Amino acid sequence: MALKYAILVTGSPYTSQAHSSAQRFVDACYRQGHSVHSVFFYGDAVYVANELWNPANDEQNLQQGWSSLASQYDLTINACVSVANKRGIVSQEDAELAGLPDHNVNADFHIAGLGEWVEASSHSDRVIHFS
Amino acid sequence: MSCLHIVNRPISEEQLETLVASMSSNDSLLLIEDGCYLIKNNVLAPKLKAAKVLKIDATVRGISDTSSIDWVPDYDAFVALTAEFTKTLTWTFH
Repeated sequence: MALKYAILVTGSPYTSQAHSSAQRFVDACYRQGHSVHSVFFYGDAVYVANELWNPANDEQNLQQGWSSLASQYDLTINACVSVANKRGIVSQEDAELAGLPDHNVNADFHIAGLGEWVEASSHSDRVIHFS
Repeated sequence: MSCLHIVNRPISEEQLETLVASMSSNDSLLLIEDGCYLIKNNVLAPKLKAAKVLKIDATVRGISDTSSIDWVPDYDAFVALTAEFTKTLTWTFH
């Protein structure tokens, strides 16, 4: 039976395996005939949405990994607005509202409230948390 | 109702006992990421005989010589395993 998954990622892209594991899991979901409702980044996981992410060429690019999955599977990837803003990850809309000089959220990522996660988890068959 | 408990980091004996005490008879424990190191812990390994281990994560950590382990070979098998349980719970022990 095809299932719908909601994915929660809370691990930092710098100090945990959470993003790498979650990306492999999402890819495997689709290979198995399942689908993913959306991915929600919370806590330090939101750092992955920073458009100014610029790792060395020989290092894993986790942001690019999420962008590729979003494009390949028409996958929605959400970052929590409150934890993102306090970490300096700011959308154009939020930057304008707050009078900030610039914004830096990668266009493939959505800035969303916790309500988006509640909706995702309540409309999915399984919830998986990568921390 | 059944739950797949997931551990992705080294935990203490006390934390493992808390986790195991919360498991019902239909539940299982899966070790991923740095949680794989637990099966090489001489104190905790005897309490993890029923645990499943994500082999692809264990192998990159040099853990491959434990034949008695219930291996989950890769992420395809990881996904298939989550489909067998009605829910999952990742223990973070913050």
